[in-house]
Amino acid sequence: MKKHIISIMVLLPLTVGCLDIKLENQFSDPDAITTVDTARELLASAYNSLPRYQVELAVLSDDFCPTRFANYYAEMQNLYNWQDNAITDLSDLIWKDYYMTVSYLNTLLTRLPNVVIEEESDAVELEKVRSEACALKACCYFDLLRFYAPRYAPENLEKDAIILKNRLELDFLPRSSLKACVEEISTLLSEAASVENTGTAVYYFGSDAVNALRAEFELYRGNYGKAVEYGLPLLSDLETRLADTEYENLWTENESQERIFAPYIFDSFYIELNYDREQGDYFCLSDQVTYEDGDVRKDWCEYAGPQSGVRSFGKYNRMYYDNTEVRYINTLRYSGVCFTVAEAYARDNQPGEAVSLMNRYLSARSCEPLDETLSGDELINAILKEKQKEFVGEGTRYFDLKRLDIPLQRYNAAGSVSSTVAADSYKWLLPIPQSEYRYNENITAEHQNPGWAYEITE
Amino acid sequence: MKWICVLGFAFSLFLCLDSFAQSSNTRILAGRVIDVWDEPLAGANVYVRGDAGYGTSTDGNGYFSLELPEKGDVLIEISFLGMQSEIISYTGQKEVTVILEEDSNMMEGAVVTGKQNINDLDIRSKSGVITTVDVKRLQDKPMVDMSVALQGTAPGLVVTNKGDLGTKPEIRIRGNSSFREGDVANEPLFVLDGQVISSDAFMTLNPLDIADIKILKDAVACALYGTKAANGVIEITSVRGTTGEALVTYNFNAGITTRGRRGVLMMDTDEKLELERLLRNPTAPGYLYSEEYIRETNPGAANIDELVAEGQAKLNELRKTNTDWFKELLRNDFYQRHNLSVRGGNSKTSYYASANYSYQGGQIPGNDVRRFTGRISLDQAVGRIGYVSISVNGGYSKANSPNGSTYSPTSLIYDLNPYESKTSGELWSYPNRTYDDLFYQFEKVSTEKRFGTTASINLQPLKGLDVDAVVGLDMVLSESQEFTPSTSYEEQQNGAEEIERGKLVKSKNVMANITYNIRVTWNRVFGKHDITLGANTDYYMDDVDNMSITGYGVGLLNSASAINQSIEGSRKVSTANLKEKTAQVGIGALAGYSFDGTYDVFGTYKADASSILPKDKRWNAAWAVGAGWNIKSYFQDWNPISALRLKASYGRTASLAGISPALAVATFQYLDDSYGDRRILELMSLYNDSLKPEQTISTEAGISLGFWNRFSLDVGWYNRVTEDALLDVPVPSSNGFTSMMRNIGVLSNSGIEAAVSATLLDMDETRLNLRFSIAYNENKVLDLYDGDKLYTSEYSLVPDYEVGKAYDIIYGPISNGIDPMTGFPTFRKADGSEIPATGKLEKEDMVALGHGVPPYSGTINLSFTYRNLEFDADFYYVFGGIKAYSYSYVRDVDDANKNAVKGQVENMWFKKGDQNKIYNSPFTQTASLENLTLYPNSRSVGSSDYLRLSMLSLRYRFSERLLKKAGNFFKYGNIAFQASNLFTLTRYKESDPESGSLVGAQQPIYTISLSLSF
Repeated sequence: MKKHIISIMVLLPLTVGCLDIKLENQFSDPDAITTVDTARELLASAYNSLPRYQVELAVLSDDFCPTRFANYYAEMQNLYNWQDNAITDLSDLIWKDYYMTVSYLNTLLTRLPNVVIEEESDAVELEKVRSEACALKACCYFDLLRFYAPRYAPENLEKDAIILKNRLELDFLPRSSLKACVEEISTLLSEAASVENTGTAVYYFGSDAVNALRAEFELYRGNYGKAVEYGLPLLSDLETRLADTEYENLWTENESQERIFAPYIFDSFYIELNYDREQGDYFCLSDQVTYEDGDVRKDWCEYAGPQSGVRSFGKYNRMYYDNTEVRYINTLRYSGVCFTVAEAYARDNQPGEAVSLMNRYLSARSCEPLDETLSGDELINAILKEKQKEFVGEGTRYFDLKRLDIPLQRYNAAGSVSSTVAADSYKWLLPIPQSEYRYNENITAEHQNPGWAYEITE
Repeated sequence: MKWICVLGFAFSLFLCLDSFAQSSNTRILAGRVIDVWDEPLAGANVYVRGDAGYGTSTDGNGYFSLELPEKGDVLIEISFLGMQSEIISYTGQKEVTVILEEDSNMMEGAVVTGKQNINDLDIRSKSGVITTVDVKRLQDKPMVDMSVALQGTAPGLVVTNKGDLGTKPEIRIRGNSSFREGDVANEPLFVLDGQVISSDAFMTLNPLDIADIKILKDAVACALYGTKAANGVIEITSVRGTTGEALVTYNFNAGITTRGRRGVLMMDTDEKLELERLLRNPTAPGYLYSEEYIRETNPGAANIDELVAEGQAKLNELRKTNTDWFKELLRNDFYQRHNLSVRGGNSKTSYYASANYSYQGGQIPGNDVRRFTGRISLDQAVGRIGYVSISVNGGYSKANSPNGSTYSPTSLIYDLNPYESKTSGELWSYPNRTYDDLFYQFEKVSTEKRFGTTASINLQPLKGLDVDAVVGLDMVLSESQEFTPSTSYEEQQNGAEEIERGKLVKSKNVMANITYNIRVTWNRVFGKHDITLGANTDYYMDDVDNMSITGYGVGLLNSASAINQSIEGSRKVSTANLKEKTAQVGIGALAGYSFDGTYDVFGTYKADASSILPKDKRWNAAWAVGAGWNIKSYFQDWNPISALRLKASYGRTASLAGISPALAVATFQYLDDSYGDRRILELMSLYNDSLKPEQTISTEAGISLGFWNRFSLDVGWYNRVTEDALLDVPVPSSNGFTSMMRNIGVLSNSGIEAAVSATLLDMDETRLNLRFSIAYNENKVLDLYDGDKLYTSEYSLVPDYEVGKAYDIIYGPISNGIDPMTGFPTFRKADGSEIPATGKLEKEDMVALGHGVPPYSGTINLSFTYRNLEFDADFYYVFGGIKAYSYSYVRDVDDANKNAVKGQVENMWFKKGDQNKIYNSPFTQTASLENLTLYPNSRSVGSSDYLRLSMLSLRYRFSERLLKKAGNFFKYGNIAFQASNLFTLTRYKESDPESGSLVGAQQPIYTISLSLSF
């Protein structure tokens, strides 16, 4: 008997092997990301997490002005008025969301070497995944840079910009210099561009998207020649891509040739502008954005909403009124590349090229062409004006205002100026969130953006 | 009150009957049967030898009252399973206490039932701290919910009700052992007959099937369960068979449930209309129809007097109604319980079977719980060497609730105006809606189907060697269905198209626990030396499988098959799934030594491997040592001190509670979403590759004292330190995640538990026992690995954890009251100056307002027996804590159309110069009063102390004579008035100091119970 007991006691611990339990719907390292498919699915989480602040950025810019309902949405109204608290709150969210996407991308990039390649097609697909991950990361860094770093100028290159993070694990990192950040983005973009990635779905960051982003980035850092070099090849068949039906399809669930990169979305989008479907919106189009009759954009940017006396905003907002599901967020468009290249030409003293490109665009939109003799600031202003009209409500304008030192006026619901945001206001640089300076010893008072609070309890 | 009179009358009737019956020369012997540890033996048979006509059995406290033949000396035999029978000679004495000793001779065929709780070793109780719950008192509480009924049954066991009927309460043994809040990290381990069960399964047990509940508190008591037991163990033993003739018992309990305590008195119509006039918001009739508003809005109107008169007429019309919504919306309902059980057996085989049905109606229509349970157990002797036991239990319970996450009809008590009624059409308080639009908005049904089975074997192949094994399975299938009909206001208003309206959420969750435990124990006595050695191996497997579906377009059909599957977009049908299986394997050893029954030493070590952690960190240990010293053995014959015993223990346990694989290693999971044509595989959390289990170190010392066998005192001191305590702490958000589970520091729970029990009266036919217990628990942060303060939010002003401080302190500023000039609250700055409402509070201005968790809790139990009459009462109290008031019933200008607290007109600031007001100016936006809304302050918290009469039972046991008159058919019988939660005394101004919610108070239940055995 004793023998039996002893043997039972000895044998049972051997059943410890049964503790390697594979969870049915959870996949843990080291075998979690080992196939191209799982890598692609992990990349999908990064795409899915791309921040969506189009409404907030449009409200911060001069695209919109408040309606009589704005009072009912205090946070958005405070944001419109550039109040410190509102900007601080928004900044917390933006920072957190972009770094969330970055962390997903870091998770993916550090696991790609473990992916097993069985066929040649796997290797090709894997390179595409890598390219897209690098491009998305560059995209996030570029946005963060435009939110948190000072304007790109030689005197600012050594100043604090954003935190560059290359792994998922917990870090307490300092802010890198603007120069280092720009170099990092540049490296990521060239890595992304080194892979041929065409013919993919519009919700993936393909080669055209990489080049569009590169053009925009080069314009940002003043390499106008490079901007043209990357952007121009994308504009060869501009007329077909900007056809009227393609434009209209941008605001539907249908496909549109005009999209370069449009993240896929499953839940609701751009519903924050609406107060009540029966009554109207918190904000409407500002008087700065007007369209001539016949302008293709007019139909889709203005909307005859329930509110009388104001021009309601169309696009996604109209889709909300119409109960149309938003499936694509039009993030990079061929028309955008057109403006980037045109501005680069104009700044590079090639006004003729700029005007002719703009006129190709304008004729596609059924608008009056620009005067061929335009040049210098006048030309640039004309380009920017059309750009605002094209991208109204999509948040693009905020970055242009900041990049180009344009001051901003704030209106009240009655239409009179309530305050002004100066071109050199400290508010153009978002504050580094409290979560950094409370929990990260490498972000101290001197690392906060100027003008913003650095309150820490001990 | 009528029914109380009726009850009282019924009782007096029984009393009369009884005294009438007793008028002849009957002799009665009252007594108590206990074991050598002074524990009462419930269900022991007491009978006259050779005349089975005179017999009874002991109640849950071991008491019996036996009617005897009129003349002659007789022998009375007392027997109990597993104990040596005792025969006493009766010569007319009135009272006797019988101590039964364990039958050491069980090899010779004496009947012992199998022991399924094989970790329940005698030796551990000599140095460990184990409190036995008085199950009889638990059974006397008419409450459908087992775990809520457990409140106040043992010092140091704190049960806190958390919401309406059917909600799982919070159960803690000696406070939270982790910085982490919530059940997962702090709930004790529940073990039923040696089988680990979930707290959800425990909640649905039938109290009448339970013979014994032990609360294991310290390391020595718990260490046999290993790393699962870091938060203590609740060990439940179910009722098993007996020897002798089959005894059938039917127990019936029926009564009413009532509305309970009204915490906040709301306004009547006159005051409400006056308030509305003062608040000047025309969405409320009190202002809309007021003379001033009419004159203001119709300047120069020719018919102004007519309009004013019209307004007055409308107001007068409203004044005709004065609805008390507390009475209107809450209800009295019923409670009932039927229990039928059979037990019996012979020296080889014994059995027990029971079936139970219970129903309890909640305060709000639509909230109720019903439950059906069944249980069968069988014990069979295996030759001469041991026993095999099998038990099977199952249950079905169903809870209905009208309270949804976005919708709560109970809050309507505080919203609806007194001038509104169920039939008054469109409501002022809910514009565009009628009363019917508020009800039938949401329906939730949750059911629990439980099944458990345990098989065990207890063998003694050689003298002194025990081999015990238990294998068990416990399964709970929880289902819930939440239905929001298309006609509900919410669905009508959210903009969804007609065919997409109506929401249904259906979920199924299967929890399975599998346990096995094999234990070998060897015991030998050499002279005065008593040695025990043992070893065991066990395995626990937990499997959670959850599946849920959310769909729309069901219209008015409360069924998943009605979901419209053609819907795309945000209302598309979606599914969610969670499957988590974890297992733990352990091996353990123990050794115990006793010398001369005076000194006891006990040590145990257990190593457990868990599937939760990666291979290299898999093994964790739990060990404990304890010592006991029975000082009484030095003066056995000196009676004034009848017991004196010291105990001390020390132990260390690793705890994996609340840890999942995703926290320690990169783990991914598919979202129920897609990105284009792809699934989305998402990282679950920022993992921590240096994550370690928490280590709990407990030290314990206790003394038990007894005087003249009438008074006893038990005092215990404990200190439980948790090292490497885990918490989900914030990290810089540049990491992409805002928090991460880290080992952040050391915390301690220490305290004192004391219980005094006294037999105040012990006369012929009268006994009075009083028991008083108190537990004090103090928690403290001993160390934080990163600095000496920890903020769990980047915005908090006061650290949530600070070295040297308790971690349940509520901080806030000291209020200076309402400024008579501005009507805003002002606060006291640290330097004594005043901060206006709109000013900024600094950390220094915050003071500790009090403990969020009351540090003191305890009970007072009273038992009084007179002849066949028993009276029991239990009080439960807590004190030393505070709770914040919600003040949601104080209205400002924006919500003037909802009802308000009585006295608001008097106590609110309305105009400059209003002195000594309680409520701030209503004419402001809450955003400008951040200080008031973000932090509680010295005036917005109240003491949460309370004293509750949690149980009252008055029982009459039918005398032998009475039963004989009824045809000798019944063996025993009793009738009782039983009530639970009769009243709660508190200074807390809102309704419930326990749950802190306006509507979550435990409801009083009054019942009549009848129990008959035949």
